Amino acid sequence: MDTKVTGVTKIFDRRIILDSVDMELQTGAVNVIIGPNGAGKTTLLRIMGLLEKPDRGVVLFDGQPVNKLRSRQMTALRRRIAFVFQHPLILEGDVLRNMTYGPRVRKRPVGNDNIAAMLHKVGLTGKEDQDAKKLSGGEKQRLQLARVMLLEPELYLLDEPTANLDPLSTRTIETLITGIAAAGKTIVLSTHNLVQARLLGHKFFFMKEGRIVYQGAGAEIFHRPISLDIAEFASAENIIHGEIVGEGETKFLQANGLRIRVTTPFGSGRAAGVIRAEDILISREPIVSSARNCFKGIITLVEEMGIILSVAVECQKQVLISFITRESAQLMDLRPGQEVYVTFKSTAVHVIRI
Amino acid sequence: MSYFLEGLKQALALLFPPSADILGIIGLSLVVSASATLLAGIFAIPTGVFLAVTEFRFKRLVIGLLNTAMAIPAVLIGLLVYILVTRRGLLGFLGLLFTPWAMIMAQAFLAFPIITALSLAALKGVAKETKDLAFSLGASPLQMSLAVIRQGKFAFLTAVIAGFSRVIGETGMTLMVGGNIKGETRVMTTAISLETMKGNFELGIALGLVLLLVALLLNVFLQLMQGK
Repeated sequence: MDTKVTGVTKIFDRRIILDSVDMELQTGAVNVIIGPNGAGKTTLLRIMGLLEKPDRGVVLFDGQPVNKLRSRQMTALRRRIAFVFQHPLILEGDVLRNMTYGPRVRKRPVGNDNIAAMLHKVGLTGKEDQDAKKLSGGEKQRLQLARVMLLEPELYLLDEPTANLDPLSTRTIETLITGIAAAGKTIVLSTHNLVQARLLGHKFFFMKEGRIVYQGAGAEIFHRPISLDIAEFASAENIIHGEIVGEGETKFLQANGLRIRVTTPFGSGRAAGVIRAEDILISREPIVSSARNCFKGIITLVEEMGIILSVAVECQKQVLISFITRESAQLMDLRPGQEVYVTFKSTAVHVIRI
Repeated sequence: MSYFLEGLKQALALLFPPSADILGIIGLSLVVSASATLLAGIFAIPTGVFLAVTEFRFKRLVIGLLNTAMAIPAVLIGLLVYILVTRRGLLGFLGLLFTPWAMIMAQAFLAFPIITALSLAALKGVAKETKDLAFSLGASPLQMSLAVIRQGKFAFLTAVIAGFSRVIGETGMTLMVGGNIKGETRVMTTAISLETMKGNFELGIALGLVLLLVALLLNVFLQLMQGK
């Protein structure tokens, strides 16, 4: 189902929650909405899920605007859309009642075998008779997903489905999402989790203060953020505030005692440089290479992040974060207090005008 | 004090076994008030559900009016119903004045805002969530309302019982439109009021005990249902 949002505005108690939002979903793909709390992600999803009416603007499904629909058509349309709430909403009674409610209101009974198979898929095998309200948070969330998958909707709206969940439930849900998208269904996923967003997403929407400030393939969020907000939200490890100096081919970002060679079309003025931590090399000795930036510094912190270590190096007054593998850290015997060199290319510095 | 004890003794004697007169009074009380509560509930519960699940422009105003209506003095409702059913009134041709019908009508008016407002207040917590839940799983507006009703069934029971308790204890209004006619429109409260005036405490005490018993039983019932 092609889904498009045009000019959607929502106002609650005189506060603008959504400010003329336009978005076009990629059909049959995972559309990820990211953005800070209060950006309006939930309200936008609720409007797409026909749970809320916009004050202005309209949602179009297959080119058909929903504001012209009658109640009966609205119900028919809702039946093609699944909504998974961030805080699971569970019907009173057992798991089975939760599973059968959707088929029952559609007067389209589903066999117990199908229900059992679906419960098995989400890791709730044999829990049909359990009191649904007494399930754990992760189980409730998986029940919500199982409940809607049984209905075979065309559009899934998932509102931060893995927020505050245990790793196992999170992994199960991520796998299910991948499976749903592979089956050609359209998914809208709002999330705070950038790793998850990068892992699952095909198209990305960055929301801030009720607006979509970016929509596209994701590089502009994760690799070359187009604005400081996005860089900060996408938790770019190194955001260096400073000033661009120099002319033509030789330009520098001057910040906290460092003169960092950069490649940018911007002229002199205030700017921020974003460097991904994986683009920074650490060595015991200075490296002679094509990389134009090499600074001496002292390790202030070594932190474990799964298979990767995050190493903080203070060069002059600027701290730079580098990601290296555990293996290289052991080979070089890196620990706080040690003197090292950091090296990165001038093209690894993405300059944002501020 | 001694005449109170004496009255109590005679009252118990009146109740064990009860005379046909007393049984008639008790029976009429229960039938009139139960019918009135039922009638009010049939309109009040859907109204409460409607108010809980729909958003419209003057919702706050309507809820404000409803809460005000809960505080309307019963005697004003009595007056209103009297005007309505009196021979020259809008429904005068039906000849309802001083019949149980008029009493039921007045008591239903009294119970309606109580049941509506209490249902609404109790639903506030569950209605929005249940509405989202039902709609997201494909329910039609009617199916959604039924889900809300199911989710709020104890709330309605509480509201209905509160409404019943209010109307079965109502005196002045019931007297105005019913007339306290012996064997026809005499109910427990009007009988107590009349007998006390006449100095016949024992009948008053006996009926008072029955009223207390009704209240007690209803509350026990409610507790049992909620404790489930």
